[in-house]
Parts: sequence; structure tokens; C-alpha cells
Amino acid sequence: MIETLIVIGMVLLAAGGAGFALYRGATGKSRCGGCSGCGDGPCDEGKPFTWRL
Amino acid sequence: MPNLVQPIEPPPAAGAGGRIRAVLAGNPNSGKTTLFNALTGARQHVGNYAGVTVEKITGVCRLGQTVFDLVDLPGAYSLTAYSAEERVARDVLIRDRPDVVIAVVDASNLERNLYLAVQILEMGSPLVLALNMADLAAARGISFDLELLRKLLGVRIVPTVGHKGTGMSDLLAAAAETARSERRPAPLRIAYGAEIEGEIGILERRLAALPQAPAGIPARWLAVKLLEGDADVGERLADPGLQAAAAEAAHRLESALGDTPEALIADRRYGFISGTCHEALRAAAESRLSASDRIDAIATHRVAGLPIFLGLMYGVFQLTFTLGAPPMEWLDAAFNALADAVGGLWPPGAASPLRSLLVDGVIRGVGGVLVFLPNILLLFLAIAALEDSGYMARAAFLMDRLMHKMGLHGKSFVPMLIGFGCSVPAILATRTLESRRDRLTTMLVVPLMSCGARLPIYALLIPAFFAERWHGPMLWLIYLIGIALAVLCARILKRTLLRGETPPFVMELPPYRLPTFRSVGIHMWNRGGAYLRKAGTVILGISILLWAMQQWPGPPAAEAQALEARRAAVERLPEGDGARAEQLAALDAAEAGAALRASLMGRIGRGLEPALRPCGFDWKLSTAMIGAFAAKEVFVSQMGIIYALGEGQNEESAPLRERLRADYTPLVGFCVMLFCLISAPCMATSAVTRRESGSWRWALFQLGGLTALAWVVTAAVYQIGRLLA
Repeated sequence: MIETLIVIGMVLLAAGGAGFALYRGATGKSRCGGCSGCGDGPCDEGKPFTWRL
Repeated sequence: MPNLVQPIEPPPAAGAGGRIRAVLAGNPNSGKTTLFNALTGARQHVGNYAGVTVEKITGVCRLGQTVFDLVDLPGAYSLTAYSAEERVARDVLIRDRPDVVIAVVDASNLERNLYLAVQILEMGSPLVLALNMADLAAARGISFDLELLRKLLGVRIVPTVGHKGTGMSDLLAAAAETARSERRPAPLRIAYGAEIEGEIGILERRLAALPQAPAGIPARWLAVKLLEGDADVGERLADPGLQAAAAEAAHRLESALGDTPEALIADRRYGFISGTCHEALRAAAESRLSASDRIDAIATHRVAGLPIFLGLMYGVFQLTFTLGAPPMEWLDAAFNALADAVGGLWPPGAASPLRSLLVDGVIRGVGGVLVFLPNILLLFLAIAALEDSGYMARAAFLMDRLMHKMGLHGKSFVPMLIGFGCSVPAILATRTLESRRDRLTTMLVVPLMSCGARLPIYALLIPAFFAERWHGPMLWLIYLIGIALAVLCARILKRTLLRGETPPFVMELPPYRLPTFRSVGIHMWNRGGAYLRKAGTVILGISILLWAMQQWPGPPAAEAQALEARRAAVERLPEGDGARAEQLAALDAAEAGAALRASLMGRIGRGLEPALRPCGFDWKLSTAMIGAFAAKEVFVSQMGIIYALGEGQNEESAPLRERLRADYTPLVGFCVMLFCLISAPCMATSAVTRRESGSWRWALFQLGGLTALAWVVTAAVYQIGRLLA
């Protein structure tokens, strides 16, 4: 019973976290996954590009 | 730019409180950013200048007790108001009135780089000249009479080598001295010739007569700007009489001298610079053909250039696999050991949801993604080394020629190269394109450049289906298909929806440099950190969700009862009977399979299967494709979870690659990679496309168009492949 409750809690937490992260990503407010930029804040603040061509 | 007629508050005393406000100004490719990084290290902050999409990078550094607040101005060639970068640079100098400007010039290309520095000196800003890349200049046989150059320009000069950190203390000391100097330096006066000087004088007098004369900006500088026809300055002075006088003066000069005042003034400035360089610079004859020139003769050769580029890419991908294999296997073994250890906390055969969540969901899901960290690090190590050496600019130059032939802007290839890392900054990088049509075209095709998030998919599938000698070539082929499709799609868009002229463009080729361990290491570290962060957050969350979606609601009651009855029958067999264990294992697998098929994800997958069947995908692959829209790596974690769950309580699990090899053909493996390469970009890419294009329509067009293209190409390859097999 406790195990089931822990699992449900973890799933809800994951759903909330992933949902929040995806929402932030979809609205351009999150760090960009896999971005090779500065790692210092969201892109809409104008990340520098690691590639400096 | 502030309203020039508003009085500007006097700046705080330089160095008050031990802080000095300094800005770094310089041409693109002068090594300004490298120098800024060398000065500030990781103590940087990135923002935007108000109202424009130009980055504002600030940082802090220290020399003894003196603290420098540094601003890295955007790279600019002059202080005209033609581009956002130049306007921003100019605004900062006028509005913020920094205590000192550090003008970074490429010592090996002094004549061209001094143009900006001279314009800053004309504004009367306190300036220190960083003679950067001094080592490169010396290697090219260029020597300087620094004392003479200092006298001619009236500024402190410090030779520096940004990427080695040489000269940084001297530069800061000179900047501190300049900033703390009692009086601001007199603006540099370039003799523009009698006619122009006469007109400058007239305008200066009119400026002085303005009721609110602009404070802190030399009237001569404003007069020169008005003569140059600088609309921004004209508008902000907000005096129609003055603008009319400037237009008349410009007309008189044009009639008298046969050219526009702007061109005449630029000629005089270059003349001043040329004279200065002639006096203070000595170049050896052999410097005419530098090592960079000699390398470029081969690297950017019309015929050999492209094969060299393709060969280098091939080398990079080969390296990614060969060097990446051993650490990848160690990580794989470590995650398997972890799974065994965590699974061992429960009695063997116990049906525990928590155990399944931790072992099948978290460890198989996130671990499946994390094992490819070495490949990611190696790929980006190699790309960073190529980029820092200056070769990537040559790659862009090579593609520039090709792109021009296709009717595209050559600059478009720069964001495409960035797309090898991540589509999001690549789409942001399209801001460098002036034409909206070119920008939209590039933005739409950027996701076809294989981003780092797709690498784990290739790293999982290529070794699963292809012999070792084909690992590098297959990865190379996938990347090439992406580039070819991007160029092709861009051409189609430019000839249909986004037809328009492509402005000419000159691409700069910075000199070759030996990449430093520090710079390449930082790049690799950033990339690895971003990958780990993503695995520990979004991928972890999605993996748990995917696991849950593959657990519930469970098989229909009738099927569950039938399986229950079979289990009861098997369990009645004697304990020592060999068939009993075998049948129980088969029953475990059957139960797990039934649960998976009946789960939410199984139902979605089976619903999608008919649409993706022509591409060779079954329901398992179809579900992984959905997860990949959230983040591409999720494909790998989904496959890890689905196979972990599908095998039930089997303690001896075969590696994921072996299980994939058993279920699918190499043709299907290739089609999966192709579909992942071309299909819908991830959610973050769609979001940034919407933001940068200003419309959801373009984002949806990109999403739908690429997915449709993926389906057509993959189905064609699968069907033709089947016929040939």
C-alpha cells in the first residue's frame, strides 16, 4: 500500500515537473534543452551563441 | 540612443569606490569576446539592450583593489547607425559614458580595425588600445613602434593575446590609469580637408546656438555625423533648421568634390589610419602570404574544399564512435549494476510497482540516455576544436558559395551550423539575416540539421544494426542527408512561398589558431552539463510519466483472468520440474506483453501504427516517436522502458541494442533514424520558431511540413528497401 502511494506521488510529481518544464519550453521561458549556449538564463534574454562564426 | 538635447548627468568620478566602468569595443573577429572571457572568466551576465535583440554581455574583473564592471559591446565596424549593433555601441558610449573604452584591435589587421577605434577617439572617449592577437602579428612578421603609435593616436597601447590571457594585467592597469586620469582626453581631430572643415565649422556654430546644446558630446562629432547624413543623430537633435543646413552643406560638398560627404569623410579617416600605420608598423615581405593564407589555399579551394569539409566531418563522427565506445560500455555496465542492486532490494519475482518504477522507469529510462554522454562530449569536443581553430568559418564560407548558387543567402549556413548543437540558438542566430524572407526560410529548415539531442538515437541504433566499420559512415550519412534536405527545402521555399532577392554578403575568414584546451574544455563542459541537466530533469520526469502510461490501466479483465488461470495451472506442476520454470518465465513475458499492449501508451501506439506502418514502424516505435516531440532523447528512454517492461520479471536482461536487433531489421533501424532526423522538431524549437517568426502559422507549417516530409521520405526508403531486399 505504501509502495503504491509512493509510486502515485512520484508519478504526480513527475507529471507536474515535466508539464511545467514543457510549458516553460513551449512558451520560450525555460532553458533550452540541449542548447549549447551560455547556460545562463532563457533564450529570450538573448543567449550568446557558443558558435562565434 | 538618448535624446541628445537632454542634459546628461555628469558621470560618477572614475574609480569612485574602487570600481571602474569599462566597455570593450571592437570589430567582429578581433578577438574581443575571447579577451572579454579571459578578463572575466565565468563571471558574466547576458541580457539584452532595451528594445533591441542585441545581446548585452557584462562581467566583472579585478586588478588588485580595483574592480572593473565590464561591458562587451556588440562587434561593430564603425559607429554609423546602419545596424542595431552599431547603434547600440554608439548609444552605450554616449549614454553610459564609461570611464574607459578598451578598443580591441586585431594586430595582424590593424589598418581595418583602427577605423572603429578612431571614431571612438573622435567622440572624446577615454580609450586604451588592446593590440590583440599580437602573437599572430609577430608570426606574420609584423612589428610595431608602440611608442610612436601611442603618440600618433594619443592613447595607451597594450599588446595582448586573448586566448592565452597574455597582457591582461597590463591592459587593466592601463585602463585604470586612463579612467583615473584627471581630465577627459580631447577628441581626436582628423583633418578632413578645407571644404569639409568649412562645413563642419558652420554646423558646429549652429549646434552651439541650440537652446539646449547636447552635453558631453563634442559638437564636432555631431557636425560630422550630420554631414555623413546620419538620420538617427538628425532626428534626435530635433531641429529641422539644423537638418536642413546639414543637407545643404552635404549638397555643396557633393557638388564641389564629386562624392558624398560620407564617402569623403570615410576616405579621410582611412587616410589618417593608413598614414598612422605606415609610420608605426613594419611588415616583413614574407607576411604577405601568411600560414592562414596557405592553409586557406587548400581548405577553401573551389574543388578540394568541399571534399575536405566532408572528410573532416567523417573523421569527427568516426572519432565519436570509436573513442566513445569503451566509456559508453562502462556506463552501460554501471547502470545495469545499479538496476540489479536496486532490483535486489525486493525478493526475486516480487511484483512491486516501486521496484518497476525505479528499475524500469528511472534507471532504464534515464540511464539509457545518460550512457551516451561520452559520445556527446566527444562530438562537441571535436566540433569546438574545429570552430576554435577557425575552420568552421571556412566551412560556412564553402557552403556560402553553394548557397548562393541555390539562390540563398550565404549567411544562412551559419545558423545551420549552429543547428548541429541545438536548433533553438540556431533559430535565434537567424537574427543576423537582414531579409525577412531569408530569415524565415532558414528558420524553417534549421531543424533538419541534426542537433545534439538526436545523437543518442543514432548512437543507440547504428551499433544495433550495422557492423562496426559502418558506424562512422552511417552517422556521417545521416548528417549529410540532413544538410542536403535543408538546402533542398530552402531552395524550394525560396522559389515558392518566400521568393525574393538575396543581398550580397562578404564572409570574413578569421586567421587559423591552435585551439586551447581551456576553451575547448569549457565548450565540452557546458554541453555535458546541459545534457546531464536535461537528463536529470525533463527526461527523468517524462520517463516516469511514460512508465506510468505503460503500466495503466492494465489488460482487460477477461485476458487477465485467462493468464491467471494459466499461472495457477503452471504453479501446480512439481517444484523440480524444468518445464515449470520455463513456462513461468514465458507466462511472465506474456503478462508483461498483455499489460503493455493494453496500457495507455500501448493503445496510443496501436492507434498510430496504421499511419506509421508504411514507414516500417510498429506500435512500440510509434509511441517512442511521440515522446521524441517533447525532447528527442526521449526516444531512447522510451525504448529502454518499453523493453524493460516488456520482458516482465526477467532478471537476466539482454542489452537494449541486442533486443532491438532481434525485433527489427537494419532497414527499419535506418528508417527510424531518418524519421527522427526529419520529423517534427522538438517542442522548444517549435516555440522559438513561433516567437521569432511572430506567428504560430509558421511554427505549425514547420511542424506539419517536416513531419509530412519525414513520412514521405521514410516510407519511400522503407518501401524501396523492402523491394530491393
